[in-house]
Amino acid sequence: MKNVLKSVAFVLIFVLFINLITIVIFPENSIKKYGVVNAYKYEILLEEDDLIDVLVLGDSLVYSSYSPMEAWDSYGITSFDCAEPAQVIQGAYKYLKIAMEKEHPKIVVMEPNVIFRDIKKRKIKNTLRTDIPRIVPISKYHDVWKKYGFDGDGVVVNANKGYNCISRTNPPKKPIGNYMKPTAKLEKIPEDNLQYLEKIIDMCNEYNAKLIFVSFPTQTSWHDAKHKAAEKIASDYGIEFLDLNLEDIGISWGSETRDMGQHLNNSGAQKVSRHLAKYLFDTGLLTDHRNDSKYISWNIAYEQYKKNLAKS
Amino acid sequence: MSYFNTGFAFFFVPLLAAVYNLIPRKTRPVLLLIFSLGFFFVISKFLIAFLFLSILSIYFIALKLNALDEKRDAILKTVEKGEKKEIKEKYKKYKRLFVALGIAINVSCLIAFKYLNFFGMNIYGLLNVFGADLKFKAFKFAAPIGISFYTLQALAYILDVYNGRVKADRNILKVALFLSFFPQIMEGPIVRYTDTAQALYSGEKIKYRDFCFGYQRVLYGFLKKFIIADRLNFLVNNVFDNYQSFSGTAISIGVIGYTVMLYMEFSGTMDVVIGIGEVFGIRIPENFRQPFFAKNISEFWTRWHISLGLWFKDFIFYPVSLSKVGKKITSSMRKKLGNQYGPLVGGSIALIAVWFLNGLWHGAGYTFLFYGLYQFFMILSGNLFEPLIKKICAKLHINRENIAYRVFQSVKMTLLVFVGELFFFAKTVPQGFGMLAKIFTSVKFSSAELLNLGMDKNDYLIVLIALIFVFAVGLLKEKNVNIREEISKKNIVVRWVIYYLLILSVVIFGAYGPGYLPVEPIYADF
Repeated sequence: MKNVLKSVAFVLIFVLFINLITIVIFPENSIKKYGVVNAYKYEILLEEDDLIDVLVLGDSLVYSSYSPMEAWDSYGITSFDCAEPAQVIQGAYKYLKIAMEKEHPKIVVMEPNVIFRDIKKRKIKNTLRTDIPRIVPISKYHDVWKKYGFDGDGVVVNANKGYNCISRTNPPKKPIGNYMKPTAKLEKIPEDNLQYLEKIIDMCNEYNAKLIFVSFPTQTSWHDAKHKAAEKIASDYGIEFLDLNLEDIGISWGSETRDMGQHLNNSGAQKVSRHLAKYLFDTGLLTDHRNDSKYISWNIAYEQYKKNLAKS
Repeated sequence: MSYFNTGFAFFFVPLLAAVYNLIPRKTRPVLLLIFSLGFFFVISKFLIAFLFLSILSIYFIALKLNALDEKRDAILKTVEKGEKKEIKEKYKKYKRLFVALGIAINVSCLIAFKYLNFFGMNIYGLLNVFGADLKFKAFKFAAPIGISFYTLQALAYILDVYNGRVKADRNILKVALFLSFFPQIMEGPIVRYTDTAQALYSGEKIKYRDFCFGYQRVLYGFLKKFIIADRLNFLVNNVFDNYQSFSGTAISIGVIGYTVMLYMEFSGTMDVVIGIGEVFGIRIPENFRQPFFAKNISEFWTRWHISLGLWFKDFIFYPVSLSKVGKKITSSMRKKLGNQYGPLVGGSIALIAVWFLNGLWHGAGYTFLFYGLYQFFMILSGNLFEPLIKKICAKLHINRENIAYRVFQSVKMTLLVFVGELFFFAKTVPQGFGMLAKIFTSVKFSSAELLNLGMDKNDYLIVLIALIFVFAVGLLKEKNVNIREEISKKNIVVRWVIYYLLILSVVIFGAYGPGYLPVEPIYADF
């Protein structure tokens, strides 16, 4: 028993140490406002205030399909993936609230898969997948120590802006074919989710941001029943809807997916990101910031992003 | 899958340890076996059938060998002295037949999975030289995980039973656990039956001290892999993939980086493997013993991948050099060349067989064969020049035990190891020569180039500090200091501060996450 208690004490002191270190080496952590672990929880808190023009809410499809740095390179758009694995709409709302207060974006992109996910059923799964790893917040941004080493000013902690670089290719064993075959069915939307959607719409209105639904290419997590349901909701609430599963982007599912058609790899994501960046830029709401000295950190981040891409 | 998966090392293994301690003693080995087979199945799915084939083959053949021994001994008691020799010979032949069957079953699986494409390609190539117009279509299939390791372990068991070093075990679960024990199935070490089988099957309760010591060892392995090996990975691959565009200095950094990375990854894996074994009270033999402190290449191989070296020594070197032909060659050469160089010829024939097979074991490719032969020539020339060097040193009054001379020997040996590893990792032998030539012909120093290889100044600094730490630990081990024992004598505050510092170093300075390319388990592929 004594040894068990000793082991528990060892782990607890370790967690305490880790959090103390997080406070010491994360000066950008906005400790007063959000608490110690929030910079890890909501990566956008590591960004400078009021520089981001587009927020992208959603699940793993977002951080696997849309790379903000590609949009920066092609149109000078500043955007950020506010995405979490299997994000539920309640989580999207929470993330949006924090991001809006900090960044005041002009456009909010929402990946509509989140409106189909049942909040209650997902509670335990999401706690395991997203909350428990947060016990060790430093693990994701451990490279922040380089800010105190050589050439510290050139170190960008969050160069991928929420995007997850993966170059691995793992195509479906058999070609999936047309996964968007028309159907008369409508995917069910849990009732509670509509309340959160309304809250999101209200918040976008309050901050004067345009809300757009964008569904990202996936052969296994999207189909026509979802498309039709999302289209109906979008039209009911007057939201613009772009379904990239129906656009001609030129995704090659034999070489541009990392997990048999569910998520894209870097190559697929580059195509999607540039396609979406053009669409967003064409709204006329965004400005090209590439030559603006206020945004110099984005150019530094882009160089780091290119290295991250090469190493992924 | 890697032993460095944090979920595996810090969640599943402790969970298994907790369950292991809670269940009755008799069922503990069964739990270990189920977990080991489950581990294998998760990685290799239905290829587990080949592991079962190996287990069954060595189990039944070993029993048969024992039965033949018993039968022979019973007959020997009843016959006259003059007939004994004949009976012994007869049973030796029977036993050899069964050993050959065991070797054939196990080696044919290994050849099918690892060498079929290589041999097929070469046979087709040869036939094409003689006018055939054949196109070789390579087979595409995954091999069962760790097949190179468990096959050698399986062969060692049969051969040890054959030689009478081990008695065949009647308990098939014990044999199965010996062959499939999860920490060592992927990358070894290649253990002998007497090393682990007894402890594995004893089901002793896990001791708190073993648990703590085991995890300290696991932590040291994580430090080597995460801080050093993973940080070097991108740089090494970048240099080897694009060596034409780099200067000789950059290539040297890449070559040194590869040797360091390989050592840190493989010895770090062994730290995790031995540490997990220790948690369960199993003393898995060491596979590394500060190899870079060795005086020469020959000694290096008694300190690097020790279990493979011992396997080749026991089952290739001695059988070849002590065979009738081997002995004949040695005695005739002794007459012709004298006592100093004569025995070297017979030994060298055995040695070349060892290094040919050692190279081939690492993979089906000419770079590996070249690597094996390179080691052979280095060892051979070391043996040939040793008397001369001894004479020169005596004439110049150089004390060969002097620390400066020892450092000189280790540095020289390390440089030779770098060259060997260059060929080991090069894609082709000509690429290896190309890189080697460029090291000497394109000597330029540009800090900008070195910072563009894939590591920044901070990374170089961290690698250097971590290597100094590993070197210091190695030095203490070399002086027979038991570091974990020494730390355990300190009071709890000092102890815990040391552990926290080590854990935090891995968490903060580890090369993982965006911007890093972790090393895939290198030896799991061999």
